[in-house]
Amino acid sequence: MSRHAYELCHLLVDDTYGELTSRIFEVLLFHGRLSLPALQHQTHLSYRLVKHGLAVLIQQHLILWYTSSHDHQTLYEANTANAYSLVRSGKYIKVAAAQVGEFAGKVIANLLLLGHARVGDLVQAYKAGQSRSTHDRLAANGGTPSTPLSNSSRHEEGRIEEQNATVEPIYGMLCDLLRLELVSPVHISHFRSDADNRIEAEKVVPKPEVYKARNEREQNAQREAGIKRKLKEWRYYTHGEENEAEHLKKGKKRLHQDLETGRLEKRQRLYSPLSQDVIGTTEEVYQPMRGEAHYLDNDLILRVNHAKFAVLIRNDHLVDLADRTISTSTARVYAQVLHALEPQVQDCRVEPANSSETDAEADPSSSPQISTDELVRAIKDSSELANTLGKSDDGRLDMTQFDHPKKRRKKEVINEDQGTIDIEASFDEEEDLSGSDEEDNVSDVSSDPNEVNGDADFDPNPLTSLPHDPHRDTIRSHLLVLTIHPFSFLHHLPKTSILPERWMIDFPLLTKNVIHHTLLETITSRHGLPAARLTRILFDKGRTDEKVLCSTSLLAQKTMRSYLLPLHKAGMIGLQEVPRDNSRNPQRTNFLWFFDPERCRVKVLEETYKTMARYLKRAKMEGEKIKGTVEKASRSDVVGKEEEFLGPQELEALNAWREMDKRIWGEVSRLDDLVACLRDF
Amino acid sequence: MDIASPAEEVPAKDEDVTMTEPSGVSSPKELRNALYARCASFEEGHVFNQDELFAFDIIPDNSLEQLLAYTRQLAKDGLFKLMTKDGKACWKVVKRADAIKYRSLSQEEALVFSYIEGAAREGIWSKILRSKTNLHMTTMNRAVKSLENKNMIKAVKIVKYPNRKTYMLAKLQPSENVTGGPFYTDGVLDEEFVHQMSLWTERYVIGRSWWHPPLPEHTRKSSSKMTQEQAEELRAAELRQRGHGRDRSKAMLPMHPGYRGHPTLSEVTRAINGSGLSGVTMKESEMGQLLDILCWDGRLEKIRHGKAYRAVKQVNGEDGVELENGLTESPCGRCPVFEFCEEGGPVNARSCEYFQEWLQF
Repeated sequence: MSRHAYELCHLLVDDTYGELTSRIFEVLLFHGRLSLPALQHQTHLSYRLVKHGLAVLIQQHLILWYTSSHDHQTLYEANTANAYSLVRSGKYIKVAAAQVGEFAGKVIANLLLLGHARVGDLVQAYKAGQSRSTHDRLAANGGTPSTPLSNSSRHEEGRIEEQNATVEPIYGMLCDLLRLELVSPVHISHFRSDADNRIEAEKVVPKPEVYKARNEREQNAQREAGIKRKLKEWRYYTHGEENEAEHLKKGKKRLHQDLETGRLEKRQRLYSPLSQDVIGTTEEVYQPMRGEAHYLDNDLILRVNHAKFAVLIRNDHLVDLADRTISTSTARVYAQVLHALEPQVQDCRVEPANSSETDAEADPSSSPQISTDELVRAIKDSSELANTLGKSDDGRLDMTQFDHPKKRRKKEVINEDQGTIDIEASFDEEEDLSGSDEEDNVSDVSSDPNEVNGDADFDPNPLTSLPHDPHRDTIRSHLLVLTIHPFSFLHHLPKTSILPERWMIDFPLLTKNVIHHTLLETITSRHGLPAARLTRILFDKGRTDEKVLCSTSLLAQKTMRSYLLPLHKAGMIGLQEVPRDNSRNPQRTNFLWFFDPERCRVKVLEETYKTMARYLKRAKMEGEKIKGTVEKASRSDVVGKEEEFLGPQELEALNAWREMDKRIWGEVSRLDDLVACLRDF
Repeated sequence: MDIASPAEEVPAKDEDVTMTEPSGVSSPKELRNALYARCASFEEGHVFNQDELFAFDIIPDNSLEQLLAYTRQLAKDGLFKLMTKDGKACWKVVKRADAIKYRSLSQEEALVFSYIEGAAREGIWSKILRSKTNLHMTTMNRAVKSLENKNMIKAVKIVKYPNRKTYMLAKLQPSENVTGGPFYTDGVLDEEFVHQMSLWTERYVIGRSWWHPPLPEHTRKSSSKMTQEQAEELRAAELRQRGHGRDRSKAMLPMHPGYRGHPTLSEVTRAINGSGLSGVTMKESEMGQLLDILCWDGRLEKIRHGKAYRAVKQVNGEDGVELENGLTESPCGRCPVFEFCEEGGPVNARSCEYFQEWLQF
């Protein structure tokens, strides 16, 4: 992360948790890992204050710490990822409210402010109606992002208290959140940096000598895999090895039953606490869905699972993209696919090691996938989807039937544009012609060369092979529309003799396409369409000489230069000099332009961070301008009765400031969408 | 004529390897003129070989020596042009008027002219011309200039090397390599032409790649009876919704995946040639270039493994819907001094004018 990202994190912490914490956080950001005495020296704060600040920061998961086992010194480090996540609080609450319910949104809001919390405490707080005091205490300390949520929760207070007459719904809701992985139990590794986690994992995992392997290299490889597994276990809180062992013991029959009954039992083990490393629990106590009663150990400590939220935000983004590029109805089907796949996707980033070991093409079972039948069941009503595709679904390409919607449109075109009249006469012949020769293309277009099993199912005439089911056919068509899109929203796995027809999302490829699309969109709106054209050419053709670029882009040299130079200046494209001889004479040098998407992505990301930091600064400054009024308005006796206590001028200034603040934070959230797309997806 | 002489000697010698040297040119002028007249009666550009000339029965006794003497003299006068085909000599008739013109040329001019003529439709670069003729710069320039003044040659612009001075015969049309194909006019890219062609192509593809559900107002529009005011209004409305955006709408729906009507390269080419939009017939390679440009503009996309084209539903850019993201719509994303913006620096968030403007909005 860069200076601007640090600046942004610092501002966010400052805005949310106040000055003391932000000061310590800033020092840690700019100096890296520090021990307590060093930290005290750098912050010029008293020992007591630093301790206090650190305690708060650890509680909020904003810093990482690690006590080395050989010198017993504790080192602290800023957790920039979580600090950045502060900006997403609002989105998290919204997502949780949409997925589980409004009440869950409030719990997430509280968890966000608290960092992590014991189940018992959470239940107590809501049961006894203590939410008011918790909220007020936090809101007093908090800045803007906490303000709206504390406000809203205050309005809802009465209802919450009513809801909480019994403890049952709270447990139920927490179980739901756990099941959806929106919250996860806290593990000690969550407080350590990646490198420290690796050191710890290396301690736990047996030495290479223990492994039975032919040579040292294999031993090392096995150990490496063991370490990776351990790290993953800690991270996602699973107990992989145990799972595998259990499955083996159970034998195939039980395994089969397990698959049929769904994932319930697996889930249970997923959250089984890991020995003594789990903070607050000692034995297996969490059983999310057993029977009717929801029960959670009161000592289990929960935190917000950022990784899962990123997945959900990505899903929203993808659906939105499908809506924009294809159609609303198709996007709705896509949303269902993504929703059905949610339990299988824990993290946006797929570890590259995995993909190299098991080739995605060879073993598609490794990626999340779903069968057509499951989807058809998930989508209850397809009546809305009827008439949303440009062809009635009676199979084969029927030109005479096709002509009707088309002809109507052709007439429209004529009316709008005089220039097209001439061609209309020749249309029908042409279509008939193309109709006949394109029938042959059908099979080779649909079959992916990588798919061995042929593809009887891309058969344009599904009626011959499948029983007539309009509901299913409609959904299938929409899914196929998604697969042919250049973004490759969806990957189609045709029916084989063993497995039914399935659908899969190749997330790495899809996100690569989405990021590329976003970058080009940015370039287009900043530098204009020809700039985007030039960038795309550079991407397609690789490093290109100016002359070639000029003739391929069909732009005059002067025009082209006027776009290339700003692009170069903005760091979107690069220029390479290749001297033709040793003299390095500029006249005897080839200048090659190139576009490096990764470089461009980092550059745009940096700019976004910087922009966000600028917005926050400006927001702070605007607040300072009318500091007195804002302070007065947030006094406990004034809140709610602003009209009584504030003069008309003050009121006006306050309202103007609130508008402005809303605007700024709205824009910051839009910028965060971009960051999410470029960084997290 | 001198220009022919260096070339003439070589094949001529091949021809008379077996012959003795002709004993002087003593043939009557009439015979020569008759031969010329006979040949000139054929269509222009016809190439005569030895046997054809004998077939005219003008040369007495079909003597090879005499024929050689006549043709040589005619070539000297510039009325015949000696050429070789498959190692044998053959001749072409030159018009009398042209011959007079050539005869009026100085030696250098004739030399320069012969090379320029040899380059035919490709043209010859002045530098190469100089090295081939082995003339001095000023001499050659003088020759070129006088030839230009006589309207015998012209300077052309080669698209690939617009800075090179290139010449070709005045009566010739430059080849496509030189002009750069239909997208260039006088060696300069015709941006308006490219723009219009791409507009048309794009609209053609849009119409074939999305389903536009019929709208009630559209059906009303298509009724043929329309008062002049209505028509003018319609036109004005269309002009308001500038350019590309007008045929794209949110109401466009995707085609069924089994739909095979997405246009291919050859279909688009056929359609544009049938449209009469351009006087030039477009080749598939040229249309491919245009379609590529549209893809690079993000207006079309290739589907079916690049075989067919489909329009992109929403397009970013001047003419389409503005698709902004957080960065590009904020003042910082377009700030010219963003790089310098720093806390405590001359440009900072506190005193930023652009922010002020944005917040007031």
